[in-house]
Amino acid sequence: MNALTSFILILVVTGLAFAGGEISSCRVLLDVVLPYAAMAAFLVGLVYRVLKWASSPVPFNIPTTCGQQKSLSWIKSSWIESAHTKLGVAVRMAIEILLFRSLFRNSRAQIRQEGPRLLYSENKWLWLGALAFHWSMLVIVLRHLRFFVEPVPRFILAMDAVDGFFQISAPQLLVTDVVIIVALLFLLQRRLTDPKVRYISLFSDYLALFLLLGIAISGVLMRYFFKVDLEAVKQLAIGLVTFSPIVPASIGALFFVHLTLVSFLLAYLPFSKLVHMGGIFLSPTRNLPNDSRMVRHVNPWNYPVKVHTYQEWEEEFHDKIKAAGLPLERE
Amino acid sequence: MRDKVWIIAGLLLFLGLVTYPAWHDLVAGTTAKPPQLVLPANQKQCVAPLSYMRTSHMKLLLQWRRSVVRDGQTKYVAFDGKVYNMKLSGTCLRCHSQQEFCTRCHNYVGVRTPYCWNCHLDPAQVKRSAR
Amino acid sequence: MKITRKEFLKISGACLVALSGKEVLAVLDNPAEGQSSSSSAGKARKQLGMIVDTRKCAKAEGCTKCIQACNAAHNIPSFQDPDHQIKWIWEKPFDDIFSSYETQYLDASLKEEPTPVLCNHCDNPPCVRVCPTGATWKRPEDGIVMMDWHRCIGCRYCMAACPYGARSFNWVDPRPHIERLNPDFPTRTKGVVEKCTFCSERLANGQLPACVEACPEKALVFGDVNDPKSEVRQMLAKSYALRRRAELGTGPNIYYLI
Repeated sequence: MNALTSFILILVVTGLAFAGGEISSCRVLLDVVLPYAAMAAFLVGLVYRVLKWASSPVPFNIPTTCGQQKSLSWIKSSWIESAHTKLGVAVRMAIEILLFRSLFRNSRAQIRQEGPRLLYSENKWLWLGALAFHWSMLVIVLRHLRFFVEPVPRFILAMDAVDGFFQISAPQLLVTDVVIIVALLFLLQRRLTDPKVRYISLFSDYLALFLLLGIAISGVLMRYFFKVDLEAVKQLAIGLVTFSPIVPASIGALFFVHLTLVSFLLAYLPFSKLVHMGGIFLSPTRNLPNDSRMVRHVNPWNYPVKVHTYQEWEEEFHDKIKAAGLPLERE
Repeated sequence: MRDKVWIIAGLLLFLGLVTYPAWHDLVAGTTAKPPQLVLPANQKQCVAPLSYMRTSHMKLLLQWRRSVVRDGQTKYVAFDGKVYNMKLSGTCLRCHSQQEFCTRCHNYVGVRTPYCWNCHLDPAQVKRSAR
Repeated sequence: MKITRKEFLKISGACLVALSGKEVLAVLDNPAEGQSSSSSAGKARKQLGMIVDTRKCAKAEGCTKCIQACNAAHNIPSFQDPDHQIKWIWEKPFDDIFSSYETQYLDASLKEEPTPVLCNHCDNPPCVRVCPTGATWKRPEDGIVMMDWHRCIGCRYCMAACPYGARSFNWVDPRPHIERLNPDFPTRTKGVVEKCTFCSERLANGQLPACVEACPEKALVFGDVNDPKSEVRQMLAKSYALRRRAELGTGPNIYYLI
């Protein structure tokens, strides 16, 4: 049900964009107003979210304790998994952000029939699917710089050459285009077919997947099948980033779909689970060094507590205690 | 909090990267002006309507390639009934300049110059280098 | 979702059967397009071939006009390194190409007689059979063994398969090594295999192959060997001719009059 409603929502947005592209008076709205509004929402929203996280206190030192913690000198500690230095933390964060270390674990719970017993096994398909999707997405986003920057940066062209390595057809088939769609379909089927994942999947989980699929598919269709005028696309893009927007005569209905879905994604991102793009940097279980035995972690939240120790209490009531004949620690 | 400096620095770095196209283009003075293409002087009409050629010339070239190489057909009947030889160097480049037409627009939109020119020759360039 | 080994084998078996079924259907659908398109069914169709009259060829001593014409027409580079050489039509000593016909008493001058060799455009071309991408294929309409350089991935299986050594590989970018570029014909790029195509681009314009046209002695005759009325057939009817390594069953279509 969640899957269906989110699918329908994306279809409705696609339909609206498709229809809007046909009406010339709507083009200004779709070409100029919508991208600006979406970008503003993205930037403001993301800054708001990150600043809000930054001002939250971290009451405890809670790094995940996998790997041997640093303790006595003759016990070998794992300096990345259980980092106790700044360098170790940096490496751990890099591995987490670039290679998704925390997905590469035995985190798949299964009940085996013989027994029955609960088994944790590897979750490498999820890891691989996630990695394939995110890296393709990064390459694709960077590749789009060719529309926004003039002259086109060298590294974009170099990246394109690697991406189109197989030299299949014209325009060249880009590997990331295939990979991103396959990866997204895999991540979607995982939510639909695994009953455990399906049970915890929400409307927003499906919405993100369908939204990204819609963007990828509309882009692929535009690149390989229903051609659009790239010169007009670049003029529009440069017009937008230089704050002197122009509305090209016609680019093609599919372009409006793509642009509208991308705007949707940009505006929606800071307020959805997709903001993990910023959040991953602030995950306390990963970015805090596991040095709780060496350094005292003080909760910045703590207000000064008025402490009244036993010694003070004893001094205060010294005479009365003595008079009552009770034992005293200090005479 | 002591980490705030790092977080804000990271955020600023991210914002800088995201808005890179804007400040790059504003500093470089890039405008939405399209590239200046040198159009053929001797011909008014291409083998297909302009709107089709703008978006789908690669499809036409692939279709020509298939016809000539795989099917042995060399003549193309255009939409206006004219008959053309299906040749990249012999027909397309007879009117268009590779450097000032194809490459200029390809560079503009960052479509890596296709590997057509690894094999197919530009007659104008051959003539120039022979001289 | 657990697949036992037995189930896995079952599924793979079914997939294999399904795949082979497709091939069978394709053959049934269009028998001429099946495995041996050229052996029996091909005979009735047009098959271009060439006669090399070695007696006439020998008359013009030191003549390499056919080779030069081909090289100029097809942008063939010249390399000093024999490993890099590109050859569409070239010369070999008579004794090399017809070693199985050799008698030990042949005069050394005849043994060494340079004889033009080129792709035989076989009836049953082994290069086509091994090509994994379909970059080389036998044209059904005229029997030319064609090359599609767009599709060649440079695996060089065809070179291993060809018993005539008629194929060359571009180890380096050939363009800087071409003396005079002919803009009407593409050069090739590094990493593709090339060979004679019987000047398919000239045939399309109703011209003869460049080598045939260039031969001052008219030693090269070109035509349809499946047409009994053609000039080549008339000539073949009247004189003995040899074909290179015909015993291999490739059905070569270059005939040498001796």
